[in-house]
Amino acid sequence: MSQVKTDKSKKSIEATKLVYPMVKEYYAEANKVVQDHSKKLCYVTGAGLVDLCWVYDNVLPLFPENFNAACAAKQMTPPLLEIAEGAGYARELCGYFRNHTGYLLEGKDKEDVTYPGGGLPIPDFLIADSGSCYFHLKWWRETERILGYKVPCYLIDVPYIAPRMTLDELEAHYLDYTVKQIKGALEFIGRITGRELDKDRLREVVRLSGEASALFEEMQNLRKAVPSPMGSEDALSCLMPLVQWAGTQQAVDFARALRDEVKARVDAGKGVLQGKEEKLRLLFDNIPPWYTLGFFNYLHKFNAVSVIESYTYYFHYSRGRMDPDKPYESLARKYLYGCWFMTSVRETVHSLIAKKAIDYKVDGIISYALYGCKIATGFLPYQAKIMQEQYGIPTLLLEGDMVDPRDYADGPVKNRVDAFMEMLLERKKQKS
Amino acid sequence: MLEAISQLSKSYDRWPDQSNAVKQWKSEGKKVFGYMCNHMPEELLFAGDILPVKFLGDSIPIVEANQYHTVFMCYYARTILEMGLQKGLTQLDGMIGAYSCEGGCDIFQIIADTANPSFYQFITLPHDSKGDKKEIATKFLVEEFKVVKRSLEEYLGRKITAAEIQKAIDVYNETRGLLRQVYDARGNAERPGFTGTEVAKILNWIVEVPKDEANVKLKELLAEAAKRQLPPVKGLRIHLSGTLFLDTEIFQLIEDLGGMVVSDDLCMGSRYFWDDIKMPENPTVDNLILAMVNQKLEKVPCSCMCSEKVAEDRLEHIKKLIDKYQVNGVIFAVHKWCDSHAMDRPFMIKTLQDMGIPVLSFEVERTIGDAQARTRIESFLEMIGGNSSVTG
Ligand code: SF4
Ligand code: SF4
Repeated sequence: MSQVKTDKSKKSIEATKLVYPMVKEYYAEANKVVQDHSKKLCYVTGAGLVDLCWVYDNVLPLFPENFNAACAAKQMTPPLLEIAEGAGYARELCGYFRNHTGYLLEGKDKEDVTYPGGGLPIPDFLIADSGSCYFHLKWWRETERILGYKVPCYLIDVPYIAPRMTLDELEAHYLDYTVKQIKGALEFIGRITGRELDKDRLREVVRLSGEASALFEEMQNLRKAVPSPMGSEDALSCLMPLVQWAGTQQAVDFARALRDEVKARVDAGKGVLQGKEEKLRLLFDNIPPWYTLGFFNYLHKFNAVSVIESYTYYFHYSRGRMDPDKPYESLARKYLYGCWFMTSVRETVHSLIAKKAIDYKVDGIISYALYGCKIATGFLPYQAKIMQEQYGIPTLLLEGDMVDPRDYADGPVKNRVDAFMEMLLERKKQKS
Repeated sequence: MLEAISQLSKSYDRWPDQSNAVKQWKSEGKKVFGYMCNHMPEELLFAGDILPVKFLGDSIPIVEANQYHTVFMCYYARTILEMGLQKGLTQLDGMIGAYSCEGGCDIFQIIADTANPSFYQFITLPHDSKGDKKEIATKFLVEEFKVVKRSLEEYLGRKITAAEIQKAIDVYNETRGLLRQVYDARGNAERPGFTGTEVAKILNWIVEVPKDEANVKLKELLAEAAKRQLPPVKGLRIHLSGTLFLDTEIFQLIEDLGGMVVSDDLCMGSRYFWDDIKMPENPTVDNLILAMVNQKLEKVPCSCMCSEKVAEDRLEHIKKLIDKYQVNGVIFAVHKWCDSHAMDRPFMIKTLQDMGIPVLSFEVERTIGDAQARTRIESFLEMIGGNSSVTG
């Protein structure tokens, strides 16, 4: 098939250079473990649960989502997507799922293809949570079936926080239900790994997870500065350590290095546009098109920077430190926060999107509507309307998929971006 | 078509504001609530003298709703939003959502936000409820149902008693039993009592009207059906799998082509009523709520559930119905953008095909005409044979 025109991103942050070797080493380890069985490999879902894996020193968690994003960045997804679709999975389903399933069904056996990191190994067990979506749970169940029910699976069903509650005032059964499942997951991993749960280690993991989150949040707050010290082209590439290694010293070290670098840039007044005037500040909303992260660099042409994302806020538990003395409750609150973030759209539009838009002084929002991701997408037109009518902030609503570039039309997308930028510039001129 | 079934459409409407059942109920000073998903505990509302009406959706064009919601969601749910925006849900005093599918959770929040009824509640359904998870899932859903009960009581300004809940469960269980009889009558190979289209109409009506009155009517219909002389279906006997339809076109079309829908696993079909609530020996409020929860978690699962082997469990139900109603072919007709069904489908289709059962699958956007399904159904029926018509 012909290559779809997309753009690679250019980075300005040094810390991003740390990410690739970390990821490479991690995939190398995963492929070594396949040979020597020194650890148990498991598939985990984004943001949640990875902390639980790091409690056991003989578990290596693998992220199909990251693998999918890496395949997308290398433009390798179309053949895998086609395998899944050929097996009857609708094209409207989450692109992450289709890519991963295409890989499991046939892609992994193709000897002439070199996948990112040497490929995603078959795991010894599966764990998932519904913090981002219930689709994840369906996906893991489908994986269980594709792997012939030979790989055990444990799911944490994180409940949607109904509008009668707030994150600060959760009904007891919400916490209780989530905590019980966290304990269940730890027991499950313990059974598979043959290890007793080390409670001190659990507390340590919670402490480290909280610390990395707090550092990342500090860094996020630094991004409120004008000019913007770090744009989305860098921030999105810095997520992986936080996602993959939440609960380890590695994540803390990375988050600290990143925080320090961003702080130094803010202190020195160093902006993304390197001295050029920053005319427009944008908020990027939803999962980005991983196959064309250069999209963010394209904005620079208009002296515009995507200064903050909703997506990066998902991955750090930005509600204060996690309490190592209450490890289960801390983890439960973290997972419930994730669920609230994704699902409680009537609340998040005000307390998250509008708040960030104001705090980061943005002129406009670019929302990326993913046809495969029903939970993060359906609401976006209404959000755009609320943001315009109640907060006076316009939104450009683009449509596509995060790993499937087949429908991505670079020219028309750029035309729409051009028109949006011109409108924002004109608006700003009139305001001043 | 039985005259009495044609008459059913007079008592309700796809647009709740136009429904005579709604008007009648409200004229007695009582409340009416709308809901989307079957996991909502209807019996609790009925016990509080509230009429629960399921959103049926309508095959209308979407005009305003696209400004509030992307098109990446089943047409069914988007038409409910459209109705609300066109001020067609103003007679509903309340709405209760249940988080079954995520698109539904998302759009229901917008429907409630824009229609702004005086009562709004939402419950989370545990999605992983088998095996080790059964106990905690049950406990969680019990609490959710208790929240619904408490908030209804606050809204109504009175308690809902155990006796009222027990009575509501009895009424609803009776409906379930009568609907199973309706299905058996339709599925009777020698002498069907109803056609597929008639049963689809009964199902549309039953979710919109008070069940106690409906039970009286259902008994009359069953008595009429017993006296009827419908010829056996000469063409193909079809099982229909999916969620719901915005009209009864697909049922009619299959009949026009000589076959008949004799069985289904639809949200607006067997999944709605197949399993009774087991009445507890000691009917306290707590025990009654527990019984309602057990039924929700143990019933034929909806595809949105994520317990192990949900698709396998759904298939078991289908296989039983295939045997019971002597089905010759299965049609999956599911809304485009309906993720959970799209996930279960490949495995279910393959398993049925491996069993030698012919399967047709297509996606529905608005009506089946839109989906070019008509031609596909025609060739499917031709392919597996049979061409005589069913009359009624
Ligand atoms: S992209 Fe959306 S549907 Fe897919 S796994 Fe993520 S949250 Fe779920
Ligand atoms: S048809 Fe599918 S997507 Fe629509 S509400 Fe039902 S389960 Fe959800």
